[in-house]
Amino acid sequence: MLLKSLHIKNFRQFIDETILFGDGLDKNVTIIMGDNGSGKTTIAQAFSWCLYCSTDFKDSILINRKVANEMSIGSEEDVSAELVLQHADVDYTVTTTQTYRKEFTGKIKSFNPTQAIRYKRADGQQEFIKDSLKVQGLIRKILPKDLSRYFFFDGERINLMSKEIQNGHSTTFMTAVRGLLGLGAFEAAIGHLKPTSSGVIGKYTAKFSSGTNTTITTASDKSTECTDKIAANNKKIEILKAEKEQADQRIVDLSVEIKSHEEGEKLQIRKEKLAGKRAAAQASLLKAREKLFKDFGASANNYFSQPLIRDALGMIAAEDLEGKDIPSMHAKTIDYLLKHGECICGEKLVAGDAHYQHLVGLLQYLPPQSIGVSAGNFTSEGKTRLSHTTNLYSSSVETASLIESIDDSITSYEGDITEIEKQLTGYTGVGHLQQELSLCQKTSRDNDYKISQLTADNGKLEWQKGQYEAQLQSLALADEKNKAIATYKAYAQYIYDTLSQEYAIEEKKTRDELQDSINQIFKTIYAGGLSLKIDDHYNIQVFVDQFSEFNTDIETSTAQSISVIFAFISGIIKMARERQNAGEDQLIQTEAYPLVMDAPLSAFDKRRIKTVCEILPSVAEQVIIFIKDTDGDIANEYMKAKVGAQYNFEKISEFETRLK
Amino acid sequence: MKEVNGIEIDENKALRLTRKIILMEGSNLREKEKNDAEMVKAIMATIEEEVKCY
Repeated sequence: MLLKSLHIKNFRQFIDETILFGDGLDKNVTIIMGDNGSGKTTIAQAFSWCLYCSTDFKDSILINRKVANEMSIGSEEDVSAELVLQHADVDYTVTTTQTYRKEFTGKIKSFNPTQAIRYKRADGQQEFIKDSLKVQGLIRKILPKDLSRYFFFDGERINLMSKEIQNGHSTTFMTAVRGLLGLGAFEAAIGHLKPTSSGVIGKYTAKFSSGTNTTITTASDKSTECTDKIAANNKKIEILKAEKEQADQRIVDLSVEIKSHEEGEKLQIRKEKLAGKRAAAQASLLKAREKLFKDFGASANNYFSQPLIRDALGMIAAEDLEGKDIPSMHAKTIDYLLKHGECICGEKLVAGDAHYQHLVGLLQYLPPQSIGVSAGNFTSEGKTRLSHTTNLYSSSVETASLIESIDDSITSYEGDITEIEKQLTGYTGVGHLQQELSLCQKTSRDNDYKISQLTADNGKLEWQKGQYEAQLQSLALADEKNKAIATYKAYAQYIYDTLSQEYAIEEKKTRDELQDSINQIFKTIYAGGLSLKIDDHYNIQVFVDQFSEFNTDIETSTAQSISVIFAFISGIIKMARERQNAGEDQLIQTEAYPLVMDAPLSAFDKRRIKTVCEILPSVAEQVIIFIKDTDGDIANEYMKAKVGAQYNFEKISEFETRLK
Repeated sequence: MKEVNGIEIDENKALRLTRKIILMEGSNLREKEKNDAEMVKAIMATIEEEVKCY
């Protein structure tokens, strides 16, 4: 497949632009240059939209914003992409159109996109297909969607692919690569011939006619049952093995990760200890404060009244109050006399006169409030208080000093904790890692056990199947109709066995060839003493040549990773191209495809850009690259001889970019 | 001549069949005209035709 041209109308920031791609043998490179945000990815996505009606854009509205704003209420505008491509010497024009209408609310409504294909038949007749199913069927013939991602990829996808091709990937990937290298037909044939009930061999087993002999039916059914069980077990084994492989890989990764967290774990333990000490200190601080307030509350009254009590006791001691109290008399006696207005001696007492005042004066020397009694009580109480008074000052100083010391400790602990927390930024602990490790170890052990059980089960089933097959064979050969079926089945079995053997050899040969091809390209791009190995799952591992005996995959830098992807994609395209040119009689056949890459040079230094620029046009039938202005000048310099077309983005506004 | 389950196999015939099946599969992978069940039927028809014809 070769891309001839792309015309886009009202598609995102492009209002009406056409790109003619370089597709000549000598001039097979198209460079499209532009700064970030100018629309490189939009052009790359236009291919996907035109062929498969899908894009990676989050916003499903594709119409140019400027055009949309200028639309009047009720009017319609089309967004379209028209891709002209050549496939198997036929020129196809694929057109995808989507109509947008401005609603009365001012909102833009989109209709489902429609597709059409025009091409000229071998007899010169023009064909025009509008039926969507037929259009999609034809596009699938040209470039199936699941394969397109290997030929149309952007920078974001490069990062994903880097992880994918180095860290293991799905069987879909492996199947797609095998398909690209021409092994798809082998895989499909083996899958269709298989002896399960849905395969050719299984169908023949079920076709044996029993007539009056029911033993044939029983043997046929039992044989098919065994085959299906074996196939089901094999599928389970495959899944369990894949799970185990993932679990084992995760065990290795987790062990490394846990080890790398050792320092963090120590810090975490220290932090926890410090946090414990801080909590204890905070509790002590609370107690000390409580004690300070409690002591003050209990002793402050006594403490602050001490000087007054001492002074009062001194004053009382200085006064001669002894013998002044009147013995055997009570204040109530005086109160009685004053109330009755007559003294014991018979003298009349009138309020306010001298006798009356004299008696009132005597009250202070009589119990219960005689001055002697009061002074005695005060002295006794004062002395008691003085004898019980603690030294509030010294105890308060002592407690305050303790509080200050605890406070200092807390500040110190908090300082240490903050420092540790800084070092632990981003650290989430190893608890969850340990849990995951245990789970992976359990999965690995469990799957080992299940695989051995299923393998043993398959051994028994194979033996049983052999018995039924032998029985079936001897019975079938005795009947003419069944003999014919047995013959077809024998051919199907023979072809199945031969193809399975040939596939294993061919697949290994293809993988080795791909490895050589990839290494050749990788070493030219990278030239850094590294080699690539492809395992049987098509995972790529990177080795240091000097230490290849250690046989361990190494972690790669960004430039190395992108070199690996380049080498991988270029290697596949190169092999697919070579196999396409090998002739129609070859069983392994492929199609040449263009290589469309978004920002492929940004991760490389100048020397490697030169190498990449030299390699790409020689391995791929057609190269279309989207690059930044700065890389573009270098690419232009190194690929000048191969550049068939070159475009620059001219950003008019946020909503419009033009090509020139 | 090879023997499978007591039946003699003409290796040339089997080779022709193998090539035919692979080419059918290759064509179907590109054109996606038949589903799996249809391909199984088509392979069976091809085998029966080839075995009967010669």
